[in-house]
Amino acid sequence: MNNINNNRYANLDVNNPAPRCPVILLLDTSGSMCNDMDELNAALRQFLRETAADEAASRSVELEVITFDNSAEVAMPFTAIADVDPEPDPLVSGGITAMGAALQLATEHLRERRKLYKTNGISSYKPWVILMTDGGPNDDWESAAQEMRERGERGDLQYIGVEIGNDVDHETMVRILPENQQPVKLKDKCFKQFFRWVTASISSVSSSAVSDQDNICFGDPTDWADL
Amino acid sequence: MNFLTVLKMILGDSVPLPVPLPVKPDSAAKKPAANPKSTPKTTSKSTPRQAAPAGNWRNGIGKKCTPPDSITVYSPKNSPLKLDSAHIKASGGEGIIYTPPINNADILVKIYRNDASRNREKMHELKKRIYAMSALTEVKKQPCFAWPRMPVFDAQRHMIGFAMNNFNGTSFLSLMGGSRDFQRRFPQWDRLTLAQIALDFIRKLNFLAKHGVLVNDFNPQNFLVDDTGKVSFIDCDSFQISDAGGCHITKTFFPSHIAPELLKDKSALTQPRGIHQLEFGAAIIVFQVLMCGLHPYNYYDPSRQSACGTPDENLLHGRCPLGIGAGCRFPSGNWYNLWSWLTGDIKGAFIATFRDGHGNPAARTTLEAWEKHLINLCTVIKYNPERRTLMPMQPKSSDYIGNRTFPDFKKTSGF
Repeated sequence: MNNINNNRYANLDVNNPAPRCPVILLLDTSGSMCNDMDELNAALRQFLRETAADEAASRSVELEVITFDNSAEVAMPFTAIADVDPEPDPLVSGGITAMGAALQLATEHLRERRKLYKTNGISSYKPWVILMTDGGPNDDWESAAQEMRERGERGDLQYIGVEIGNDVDHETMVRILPENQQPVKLKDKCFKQFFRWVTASISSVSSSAVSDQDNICFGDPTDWADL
Repeated sequence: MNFLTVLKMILGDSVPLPVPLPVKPDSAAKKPAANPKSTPKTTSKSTPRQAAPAGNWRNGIGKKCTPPDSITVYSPKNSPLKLDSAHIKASGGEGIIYTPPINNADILVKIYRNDASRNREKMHELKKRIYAMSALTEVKKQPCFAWPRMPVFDAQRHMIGFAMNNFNGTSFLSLMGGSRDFQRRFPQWDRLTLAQIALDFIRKLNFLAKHGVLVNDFNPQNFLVDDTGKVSFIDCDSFQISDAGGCHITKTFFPSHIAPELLKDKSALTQPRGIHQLEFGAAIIVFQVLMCGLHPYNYYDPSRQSACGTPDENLLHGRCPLGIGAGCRFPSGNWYNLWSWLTGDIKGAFIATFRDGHGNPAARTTLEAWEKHLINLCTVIKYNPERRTLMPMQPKSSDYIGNRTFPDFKKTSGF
């Protein structure tokens, strides 16, 4: 994916008055994902295009993409969705699953981003964190997962864990995610349906007043979720 | 007799709305403030929210609301009209809007979702509201309002929606993404255009108020602007209507755009709202239009280097950055520069509404005063092109003189 700007503090437009909705995609790019990468990349492009085209979401959504395989990397730092290249270089799979390192990065970046909003007088919605994997962590994940799990349990975070295929370490995913937001299995390669649902959901959030975000009724996820 | 014929028989043809609006203080015009003694007729139309686990993304499970491939609806005179999914113009939490396959009809049909239309009590109230609205012929004739024209029914004669005036344009949200976003979307427009849009908005709001209609829900997405800068209003079934039988109220509101006394005491939403509550919501929209989307209660505390809360919270508690000295307490960005180039009377009108009027509704700037101030603003900008920019590099200095040699200068109270 093309990096828009490697300085993750620089991409904040203080002259945009809209409350921000920070979204982090944590994407498994380990070797076992090789059979899913085409669909994932296509769905990601669709997500970038459709979210940027949405009037409300395009003003509020700031996206960061973190990939994890042998290590965790910021494929794209927080960037206003309207400024993201809708045709990024495709993600490539290979290596093991450094999910713990990715969770650590996401926790730190989310904390910094929210602080940045506050110091500039910009209000924000709850962050959305989307963790997609077809396996389980090969590294230390427990301390890395703790802060976001707790935030999710307090209702301060929308945390979506998506399990791809049949080889996911479900027990570990259950422990990573908040008790009230347990992981969901993706229906067979329904990446596009999933990301379309995400676009619609964050569009609803961006259209609401900040104090009203808990009253939103999200769309039915059964198009993509094997519940 | 087809659906369109029925519609025309009931309603007559649309008459374009001249600008400025032909508002006359005639005796037929109803006072905007409803009689509190009359029994309010509540329609529980509300923003799309339902009981669900607080904020959890899973709350939509089992609430699939895919529109049917086709649906046949009936006019009050039982004329059928088939609507296909190909005719869907927009879809929201409350209902689906169709462009019916009728040549030159210039109408839309809104069909409520099942959970709403199965609520017979709600639909009964709504039917009375739609008939009351369609009886307001002067308002109904204005194409700038997506005004209900008549209810539509299912085969069992249950009301499931209504036909309304067509609408086009982009929502006010598109004006509210900051200067850079605005110039990217509307490269030919500048602050004069925004002032003219705000003026058109106020005139139309006032036109409605003179006819006993108050806008309840100041969600910026309920107001559209077309490519000529003309404003139109949608979601009109949420308006408060007064007629001979009393006042048809709705509890609808947008939390960041509502008078604080209603936010503090939600039980007040079951009573008719008054003109001062409308003035408050209207002033927020005018502020956001002129300030490229900044919310007037977006308050920043430099001593803590922090936002003091969301605009909704600050609105509730009266934390307003306006009128407290140079720099005010705007967030980071070019907001103070943008604010400083407004005219003095416009700034005073905002301060009167958001500071003085926070706890004192009678102190809020009236719609008539807004119209006068916005006309002045347009004139001042026309004669002072440096005021057109949405990215002023400096605030207006105290010794700024500008061009004051225009015909109505002496009438302007602020510069």
